[in-house]
Amino acid sequence: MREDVGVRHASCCGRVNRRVFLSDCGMGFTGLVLGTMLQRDGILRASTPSVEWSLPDGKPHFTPKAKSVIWLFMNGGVSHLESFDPKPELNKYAGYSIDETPYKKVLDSPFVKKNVQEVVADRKMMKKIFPLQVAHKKYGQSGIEVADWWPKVGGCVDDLAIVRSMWTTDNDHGAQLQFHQGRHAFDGFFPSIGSWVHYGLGSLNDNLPQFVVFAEPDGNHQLRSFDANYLGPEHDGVLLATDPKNPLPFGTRAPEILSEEQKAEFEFIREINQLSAVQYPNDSAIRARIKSYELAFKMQLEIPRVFDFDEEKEDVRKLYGLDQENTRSFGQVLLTARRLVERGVRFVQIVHGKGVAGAWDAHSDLKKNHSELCAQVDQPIAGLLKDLKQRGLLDETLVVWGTEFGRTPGVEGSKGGRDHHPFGFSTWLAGGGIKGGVTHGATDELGFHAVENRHYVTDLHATVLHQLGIDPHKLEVPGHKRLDIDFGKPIQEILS
Amino acid sequence: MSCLRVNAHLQNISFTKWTMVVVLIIVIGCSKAEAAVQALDGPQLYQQRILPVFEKQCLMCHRGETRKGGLDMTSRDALLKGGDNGPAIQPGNAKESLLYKLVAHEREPAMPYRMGKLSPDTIALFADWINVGAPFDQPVAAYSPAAGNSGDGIALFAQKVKPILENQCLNCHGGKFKQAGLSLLTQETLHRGSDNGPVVVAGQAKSSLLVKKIRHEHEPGMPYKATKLSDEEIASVVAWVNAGAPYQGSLQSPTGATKVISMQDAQHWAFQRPKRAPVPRSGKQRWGRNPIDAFVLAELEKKGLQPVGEADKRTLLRRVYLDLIGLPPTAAETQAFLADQSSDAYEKVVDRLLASPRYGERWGRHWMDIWRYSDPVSIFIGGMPRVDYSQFDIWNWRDWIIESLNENKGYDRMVLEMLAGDEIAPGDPKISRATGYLARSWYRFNRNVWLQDAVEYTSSGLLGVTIRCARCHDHKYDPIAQEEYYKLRAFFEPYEVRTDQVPGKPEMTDYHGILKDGIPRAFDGEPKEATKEAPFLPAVFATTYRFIRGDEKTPDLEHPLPPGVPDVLGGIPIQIQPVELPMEVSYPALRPFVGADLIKKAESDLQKAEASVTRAQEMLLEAKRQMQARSLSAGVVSSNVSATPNQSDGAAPRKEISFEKDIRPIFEQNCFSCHKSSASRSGLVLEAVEAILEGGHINGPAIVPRNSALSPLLQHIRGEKKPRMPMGQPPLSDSQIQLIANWVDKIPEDEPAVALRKAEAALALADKKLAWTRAYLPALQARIVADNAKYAEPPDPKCAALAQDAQRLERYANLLKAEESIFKAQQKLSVALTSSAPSNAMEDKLRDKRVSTAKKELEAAQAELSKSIETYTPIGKLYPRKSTGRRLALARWIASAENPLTARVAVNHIWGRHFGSLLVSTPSNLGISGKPPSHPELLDWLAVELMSSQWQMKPLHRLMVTSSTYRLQSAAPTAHLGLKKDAENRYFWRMNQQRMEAEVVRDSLLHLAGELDLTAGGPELDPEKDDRILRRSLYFRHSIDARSEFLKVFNAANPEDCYERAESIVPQQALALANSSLSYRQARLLARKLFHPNSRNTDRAFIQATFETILGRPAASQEFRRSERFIDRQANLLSAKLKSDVAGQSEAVGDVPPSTDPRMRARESFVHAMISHNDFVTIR
Repeated sequence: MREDVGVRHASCCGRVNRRVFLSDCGMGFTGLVLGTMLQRDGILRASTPSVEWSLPDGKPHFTPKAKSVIWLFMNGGVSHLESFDPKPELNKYAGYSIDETPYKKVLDSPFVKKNVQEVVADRKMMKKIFPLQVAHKKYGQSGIEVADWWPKVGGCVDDLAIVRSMWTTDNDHGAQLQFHQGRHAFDGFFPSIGSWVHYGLGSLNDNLPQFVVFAEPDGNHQLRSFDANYLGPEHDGVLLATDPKNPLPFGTRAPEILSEEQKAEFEFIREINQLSAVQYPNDSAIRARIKSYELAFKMQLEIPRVFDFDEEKEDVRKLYGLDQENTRSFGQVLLTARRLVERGVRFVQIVHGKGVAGAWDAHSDLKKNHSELCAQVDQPIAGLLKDLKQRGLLDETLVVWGTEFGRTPGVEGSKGGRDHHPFGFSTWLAGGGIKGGVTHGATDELGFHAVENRHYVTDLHATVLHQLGIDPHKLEVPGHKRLDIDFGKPIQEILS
Repeated sequence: MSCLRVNAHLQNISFTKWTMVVVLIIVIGCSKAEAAVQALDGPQLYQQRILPVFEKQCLMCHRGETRKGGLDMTSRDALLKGGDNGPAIQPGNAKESLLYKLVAHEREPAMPYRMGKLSPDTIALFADWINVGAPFDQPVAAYSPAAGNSGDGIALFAQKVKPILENQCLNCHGGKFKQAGLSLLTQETLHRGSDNGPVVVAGQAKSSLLVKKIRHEHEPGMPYKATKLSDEEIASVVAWVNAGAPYQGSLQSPTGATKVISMQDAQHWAFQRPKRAPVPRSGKQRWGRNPIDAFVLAELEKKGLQPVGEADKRTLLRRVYLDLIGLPPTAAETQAFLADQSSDAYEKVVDRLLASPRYGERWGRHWMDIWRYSDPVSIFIGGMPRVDYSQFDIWNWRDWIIESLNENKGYDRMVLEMLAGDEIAPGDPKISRATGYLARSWYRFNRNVWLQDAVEYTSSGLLGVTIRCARCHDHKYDPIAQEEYYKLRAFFEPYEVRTDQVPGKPEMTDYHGILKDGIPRAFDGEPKEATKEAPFLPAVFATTYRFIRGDEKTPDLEHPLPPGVPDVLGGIPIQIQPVELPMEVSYPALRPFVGADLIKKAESDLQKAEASVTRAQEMLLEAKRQMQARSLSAGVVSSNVSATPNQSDGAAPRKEISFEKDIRPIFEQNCFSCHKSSASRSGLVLEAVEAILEGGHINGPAIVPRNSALSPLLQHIRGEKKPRMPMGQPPLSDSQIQLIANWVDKIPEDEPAVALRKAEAALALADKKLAWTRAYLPALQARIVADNAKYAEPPDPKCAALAQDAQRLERYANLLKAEESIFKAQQKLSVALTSSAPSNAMEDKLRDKRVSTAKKELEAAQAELSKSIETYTPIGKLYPRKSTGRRLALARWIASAENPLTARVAVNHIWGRHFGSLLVSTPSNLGISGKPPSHPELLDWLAVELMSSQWQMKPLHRLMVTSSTYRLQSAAPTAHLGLKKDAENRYFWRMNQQRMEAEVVRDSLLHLAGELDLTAGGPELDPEKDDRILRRSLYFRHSIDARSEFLKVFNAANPEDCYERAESIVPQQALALANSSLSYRQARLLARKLFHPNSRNTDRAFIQATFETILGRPAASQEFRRSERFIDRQANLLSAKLKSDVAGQSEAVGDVPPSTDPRMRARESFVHAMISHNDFVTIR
């Protein structure tokens, strides 16, 4: 940060002057923490002459319905047919080619071309209809049908708004990136939804990173869907490990260092930096740096507390499935997520299912794949919803459940799998000002195309931002023109 | 039948019913009925209901020369003939007719194109009309401007409309510029419409987009960003459209039909060649050392500002060290500089630094930012890395950058080598490696994305214009037409990337179609299709087309585009000369080292084969000896004893380790992706004990029975031998490794008879292998000779005979190889067949599988035996004999002194990195929407200066860093006017303070402690080891998916796009300095280096040395006191605590544990804290 706050220049097709842009006030642990604090403390000059564009001030643009987001992402593509959009017609026509059914028109639908920008060219159409691999039944007051692999989440259906008409354009696992950044892999890398939230809203708690990610390491960072890209690394999601010994990179005191020893060091650093600050009265960077050290120290103390489950009662631990081998690891992540939002973290992004393609990528034996994976997540997700509700947190916490795409109504190969299916799939939202017990949008009779109230993935982003009180159009960054489709539109029908 | 007549009273009848009637009639009336319908009613239907729709909605695009999609709709024959997608109608069958499907929106593109869908009634009429045979009354009159062009319309056009169109519209919708694809130049082009569809509906002004636009009923209103037309003008256009929008001749642009760049735009400063302005002479002040200062002072005086004072010597020295070599001066270097009282003391330092190889590394990293260096972006598939962006070994380009800078190579030459090194010096890998610049844009899945990047980053990085806007439409700000974007792309259209072999690496590994361990470089290839399945290699297209709206699915196939540069930057003719390539470049295997390396390898293989025969002979002898011994002592030892070992050694009987149950599952999970019989590259198969013992054809047996320590398998999984296995995946757990070791150590000894049989077989196999290896060598030599003869210039007359020799020898070697394979397969088969009776179904299945695998291998080997080859296998791959010369032409144009932008862009980047802010604050956009330079004359003077010193950069650096402007202090005296008038310091009245860049932070830490390893160049290093590998930071892998966490925290370059580094202050930086093992290790080492126990006033001297070393300045008295107090307190704390809390010492990060002496440890803590001092990372 330089002492001189400059005129910020907007330039449309050019690039923003990143140095000026960030050095002025964009810093902050992960973002605006510091920027807003400095503003609060009067370090940053509030008067910016002739501003054509300015950084977000960390305040919502209108009254928000939600404070925080827990974003659950099932990596690899969950079958919408065997979760939240059951299609009995698949059982009726099992074994037939789609051509032989009354619904053959789905194959020449303009959506087929419109929907897909192929990475792997000429992907085969899976035409032979594969019956549902699981039964489904009605749950709750609303009587919404949910597959039997999701009994616990089904039990919470009256709190969910299920969107059955999502579509995307990448028919390969770049769709994972697309789901979070809104663009096809061919278009390059864009800020993730969590980064936008972070960039727009900043902090509720100065001692914690505001955009936190849990993802199982898979040795492939290529599909990192939590990068801020052009918003700058300070808005990247911060990858936390559930290992309480070392949850944050550089976030833990070296084992051989005593806590008093380190505390004294931090104190000394502050002292000598303050001496410098006296010597250079016009250098606001020093003050920003002093602040950043204070924050760093607090953060280092706060983070291990988040992972201290001893405070949690037995029944709560059970709710998240910590007592069961199968559900423990995901349950721990979700319990941590609740503890984070409780402390004011804005956006917790959780990825379930490791591997290059993602665990849910059931090209063969979908029954085994999905039944096993559902058994890992069903209890913890339902536990999270119930726990948030009983603590009164669900009202202010928006829970989003998503996946990169659905799976084909047709069978793939001879081993009982379903292929990728970007033409229509399901997501759901809960809490944070979302209606409960509703479904929105629909796919056709085979679950092939989203036909009613179609929503591209950025509509989900728009909904999230809307509930948080953000108008994405006000977050524009000069030099990075966004298209209409990047902004999406909030799904008004599911807002309460 | 009369009901079919379309008249008023029938219109109320539902059209569905109506359709049924028609169908019924057809069915009832059979073939005669159709004729009857046609004769009676069809034509009327056409005349009254279809034709009007055609005229209004279809014919504007589907007649005459326009004929979109090749379809003419003016006659029945033309409809039957159809367009690019086949016949438009199938008379009698509406549902199968393309025309119907399109208007019914059952198929894409829905028709009428980009207009509202026809009403259901009208669509039903279309169906009826086609179903009755699609009769025409008479063809629509051929399109002629005269027809339908009333005299009124023409008059209107000539008097009113033409001037409006010419003056208001043509600039963007005329000759070169066709915004949205629309040209109003002729009636034909008007009716052709824009990329978004038709713009006029003749006779219907209300529905015409053109009219809506000028009425501002449709966004954006036209004329674009200009005053709305007057009501009278609009009325004229409306009347003219209603009269059919006729033309009389074509429009004339007021400034000439081809010159459409507006004069104002073309005169933009950056599009003019820079001229050296006279160096200003200062009016009042005597200040400054060189012309830079004169220009700076002139601006300051204009603003009524004065420069601040000069920085002190220490500050200046630290500044220039970090600036030129990226490392701070050591305390000794600072002392030497302070002691040097000569007038050119500073200049001497500058010269020394510029001559240091560290300069190339420091400034190389800057240019790597701008040219967006990225190591390969890869994921692991089947255990093998698959590169999706950039290339393996792209570091060769990085090393070229560093070496070129150190050599002081001209910037123009660097541009030439990066864009066309393969064309200017085809045979020189030292130069062609520069085209790594192009290899970096390689993208596996889409050629268009790849070329898009090549075009975009060449224009923004080298030319400072943002041409990417013109990919989809004419540039909104700069006078660059969409077509010009694609002409620029055409320079790159033929280029491809290949990997050339380097000496000492006879076998490059192919990973998913990309070779590793060579030099990636550009070349002009032949057009080819993309591979549609793995490994998904991108296409190369033959021709460049404009993509309508930038969409690759809609190329403008009618207008292939040649290479060309934007007119506005032009003036310099482009000359494209194809480049003849030397044979060694087209056929790289001809380079002598290629054959020599292969022969060396074959010879070494031969030696190995001979050694293994000797070993097999020894084994056989041993087995015979054992056999003899056994027969001598027969009956004395029960054979059961050896079968159950270890029972007598007192330990609890250990569980027998079973290969199938215990070991195989581990291999299956971790190793089978590469080491399965169906997928083994090295020949090593881990599916069965025998196969493991046999090993791979490259490295031999994977285990030594009963000796895990010597077993290669264990050595690799333990990481004792490279590569660690499983490659690219996490290591096996310790318990798994131990289990495998125990298993190897316990592999039971064979019965002597079995051992003897095995030894015999092993010898036979080794003999066969030796025979093959022996035959391979001469065959290889003959192939090399034959290759050399074939490609000799002129071709060797003996080449046919030599080819025959090579073929004969190769065939012989292949036969022996096949025999070896057969023998191996037979052995496998017999082992599989005779293995003990399977005990369960799974093992049963497994045995069957092994048998069938062995059988298949046997068959394959036998087939190989009977195969004849038509010619010998050439040693390498043949590439084209010519390069198009396109990139060379482009490079010459960019690197020309006539190019208005190139030198300015370079100078601006260099300036910005020395002075902390740019002369043009939008370095990748000097165009109309970019920012104007703060010092236009200085910028131009520097640009000319660069060019006139052969584009060498070192003189320019010297000029900049020896200027008085550079030597100014960065702190502003509180009362200085600059704080008020120019707080941003745009006019350089003081120096800008900067934060160290990521690499500088890390390198400085290592350097101060004397730990920095200055080895230069070579393959990229593992970023996860950035605290243990002590090399300079720029050598670590840096890509979008793999970056050093430490560097990233300090705003390392975004490898996708980085013309300026961000400079943030975030708590992660504090944490990285406070908690990383890197900072602890360096702090401890530095503390030990700085502490001299024998000096007087020990801690005072130590504190002083620490300040001098880390901050480059002595400690002030306050700082002294605080530091002393800190060390005292910390020492007290530690001596009290460490006694009670020994645990604190038990573990240490890295391999430098803290001192065990509390006071020394307190000093280490002090140094560690000082690393976090604001002034360490700050360059004042």
